[in-house]
Amino acid sequence: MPFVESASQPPGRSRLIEGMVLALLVVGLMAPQTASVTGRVRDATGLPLAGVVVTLKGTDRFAVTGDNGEFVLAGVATGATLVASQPGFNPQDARVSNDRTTRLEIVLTVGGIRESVAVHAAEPDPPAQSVTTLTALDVVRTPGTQADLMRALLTLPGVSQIDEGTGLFVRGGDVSEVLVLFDGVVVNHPYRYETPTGGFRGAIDPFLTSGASFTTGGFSAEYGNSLSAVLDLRPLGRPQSQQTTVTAGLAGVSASFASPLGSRGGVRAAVNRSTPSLLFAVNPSPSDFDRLPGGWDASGSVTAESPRLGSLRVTGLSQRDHVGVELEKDAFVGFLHSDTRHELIAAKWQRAAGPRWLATISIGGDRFTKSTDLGVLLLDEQESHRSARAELTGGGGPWHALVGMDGDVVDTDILGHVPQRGGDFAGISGSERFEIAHRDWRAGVFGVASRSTGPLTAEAGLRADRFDASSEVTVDPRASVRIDLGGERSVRVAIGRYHQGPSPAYFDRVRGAQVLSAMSATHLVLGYERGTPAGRTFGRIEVYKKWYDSLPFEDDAGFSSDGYGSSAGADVYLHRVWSRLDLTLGGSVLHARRRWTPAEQRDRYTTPAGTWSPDFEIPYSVQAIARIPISRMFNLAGSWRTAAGRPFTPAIGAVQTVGGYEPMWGPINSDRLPRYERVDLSISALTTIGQRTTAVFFASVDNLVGRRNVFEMAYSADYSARRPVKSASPRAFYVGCSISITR
Amino acid sequence: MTRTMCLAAILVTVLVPAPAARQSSMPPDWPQVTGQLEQAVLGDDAAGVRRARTDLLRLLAAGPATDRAALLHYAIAYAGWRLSTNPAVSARERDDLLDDAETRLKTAVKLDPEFAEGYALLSGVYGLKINFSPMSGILLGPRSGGAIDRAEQLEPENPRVLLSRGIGKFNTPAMFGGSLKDAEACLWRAIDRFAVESPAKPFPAWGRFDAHAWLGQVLARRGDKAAARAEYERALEVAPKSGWVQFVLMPALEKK
Repeated sequence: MPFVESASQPPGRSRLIEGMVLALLVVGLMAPQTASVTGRVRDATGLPLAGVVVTLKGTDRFAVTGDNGEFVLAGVATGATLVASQPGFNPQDARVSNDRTTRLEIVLTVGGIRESVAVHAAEPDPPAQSVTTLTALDVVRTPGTQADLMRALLTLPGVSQIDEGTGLFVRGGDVSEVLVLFDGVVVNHPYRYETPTGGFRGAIDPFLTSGASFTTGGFSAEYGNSLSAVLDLRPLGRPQSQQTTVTAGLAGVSASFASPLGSRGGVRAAVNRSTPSLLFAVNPSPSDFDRLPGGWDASGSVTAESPRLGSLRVTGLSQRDHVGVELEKDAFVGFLHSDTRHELIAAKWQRAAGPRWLATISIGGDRFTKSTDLGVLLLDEQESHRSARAELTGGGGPWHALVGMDGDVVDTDILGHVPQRGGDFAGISGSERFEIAHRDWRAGVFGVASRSTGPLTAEAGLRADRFDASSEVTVDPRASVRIDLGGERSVRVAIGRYHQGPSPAYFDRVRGAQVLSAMSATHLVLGYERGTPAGRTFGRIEVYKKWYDSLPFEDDAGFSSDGYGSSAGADVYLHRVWSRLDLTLGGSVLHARRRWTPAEQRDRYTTPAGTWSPDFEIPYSVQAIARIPISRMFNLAGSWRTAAGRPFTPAIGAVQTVGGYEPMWGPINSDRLPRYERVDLSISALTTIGQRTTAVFFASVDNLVGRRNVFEMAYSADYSARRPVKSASPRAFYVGCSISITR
Repeated sequence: MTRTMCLAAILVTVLVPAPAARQSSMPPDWPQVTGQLEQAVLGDDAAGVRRARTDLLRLLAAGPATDRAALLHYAIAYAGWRLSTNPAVSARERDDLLDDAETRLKTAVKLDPEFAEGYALLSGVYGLKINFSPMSGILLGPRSGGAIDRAEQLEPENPRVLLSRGIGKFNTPAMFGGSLKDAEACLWRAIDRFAVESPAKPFPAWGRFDAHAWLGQVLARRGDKAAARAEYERALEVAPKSGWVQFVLMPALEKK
């Protein structure tokens, strides 16, 4: 017998009450139609589930299923949503249709194991900072990202896409200005298949993480050595049950294993082999490869938790990549060959320091080895980067505080030959020896305090850093205020000063800089938010202005720190969830000017007086992402993105020399590439097999309309003709599946 | 205070029934359902606890008045708390049950801010969460302490409050306020109060078994095997089928 939810009956004796009842009836006639909803809840094998709570979403009214899984819930408005929940199962939403005799069939799937409880000291509530958080699921559910975290971040407002890579250019800042942390340890090489504009994949697999926090500006004093943004990646916690996952797709295969060790430990391991030959067979690339991009990576982590000693997590990652691809640059056509090794290790220890404070120490480093040949460019690169941070966080009542110290040590050794003129891989103007043996360290201390008083949350912080190579000490004050306007609306103002050491690539012993000051920036951010990120409706708009100073700049006397610049813009992010649609809209406008020289562009262009648009100035970008649940099993997602093309410097002629034609460049970045546009589709199916096995099948079409986006211009040998460089990523189909077994 | 006055105070505390508002308007099925729940708990009958929890949910779905909703939420949370320690329950279900129990107990003490037993069980729920994820103790430890402090303020001689305090003292590391000595004192006091609690007391009347089982563990850790064994046997007198005492605690004691 089904169990019926009932409402208490209002007493009705007096005329007044009769009148009220009558009024209620009249109001009721005008109110949405209500229905008595019946239904049945079963598990994935079809067996009825007893004791399931079926709640009318947004209210405290609910029914409980009987032994046959049946339930009845009276007085439910059409269009309302019911949520069926049972401990051990994933909650399931069901929408009541316009049919008054609604009958719902709900299937609950066995819930996966949750990660261990995150440990936090007292957090400021609400936070004064504006942070976007992504989980691995968010990444794979975003079409066109190829399950890559960096590509998913590219869909956020404030991040400009300037080529086919995954480099994060944030609010008019260079890709090198984003600090990437993994469990508190700096990831100095966060991209695979590295290029001057980032790389073609993120180095960290999103499935190694429990989430990523991305701050696009105005971040607090706890983060140093970064001018533009912070990407803070949190590794997975201690596994609470044994889980084995095998994934296979057109681009490769991977396997992972996780298991608890006793009641307080855990271990994780994963291997991934990229074998893209099948992918390229299905999706022929217009680019020529003499060695298809490929490689492997292996990772593992060990976690131990003790109430007395705290928790310790050690994560290691090893990657190998190679590629041989034809490249067009100016009038040069040739093959780029690259072999890369990357190792990362991160250890994090946390322990309570009294009931309200949490002590954290992170230590680790990454080691990067790369050999590259492209025309006359031949380089062997080795870089070792070690970092550590220690912090104490906590508070009481309305106060929250954070104090700590951090530091980096970097050893860079690069040896080889490079074109005398930046980008001249044919060596028309000659080549020269290139040698970097750069040692540098930085150490910083920081303190942040925040206080909530009524609707006001204020945060103030200060950090001081010592940059060894430039023998300077910098002091960065930062502050932000968040005011709750009520109704889930708030405004935020943030201002701060930021410093970052210049790239070691500037310190070539042959022609490079001897000393460069730490680069600096000042951020001013004004934001308005409505709703909460996890709610049904959320919107955020932020306007900002950034001023840059002490940027590396090359003139006839060589490199100096005389560069400067600014950027200003606005970012909009809107997210709305309906029962059959999850829609995200984003947009950005940006105006940026700089006077600076990227390391790889030395001696390439004639620089004018004043500032110019940097390569990453994208005046506008717009994106829309829609996720549609087709059925309980299938999910469809689509995305559309468009943006202004990036600026480029046109060749306006050439001078014949003994070695060939040397280009004559027009005004720097005086022309702009065509508009970028892309549509991606993906579909996934999730099913359970028995009680312990989950299978996910996925398929995608990237660049659905096959648009040939242009990210570069190439020239004929005498620079008399110009042509757009063909995209290496035309329309591409992808299929794969992932099977997880939990014990 | 003289011994007689102390005894009188204790009797007044434990024999006076729970506030009338909590019991007077409970549904007719209430005694039967809660009786079945406690019978299933003591009989190590997970399916029975699950059934009783479902029956309690149905009583709650019927839309009880506010004054009885607090006790209904408490009873559902109690059933979930008990189920979560059953080895047959998956880690996910365990976590969901404890989350549900936490939410319900917070609701219960919000509906009835004087509900000492609600605070005491909430402290126990936090304790179990910490047990399953020790690092969460950094966050939940103070919350557990705050809940049991509030329970003690309201009903310092309630045996389930004393039991919860004793379990907490036993499981908390010394550096965070745990103490074997304090745990033993609390559990002895709880046993004293249970001894004078009316057998006809309506739900919640659980805890005798737990007090003996936990006191046995305290004594075992103190090295008094004979006394520990005696406490385990007393626990088995209350719950003869307890797999936890028979197959976990007793064998562990013999290995010492």
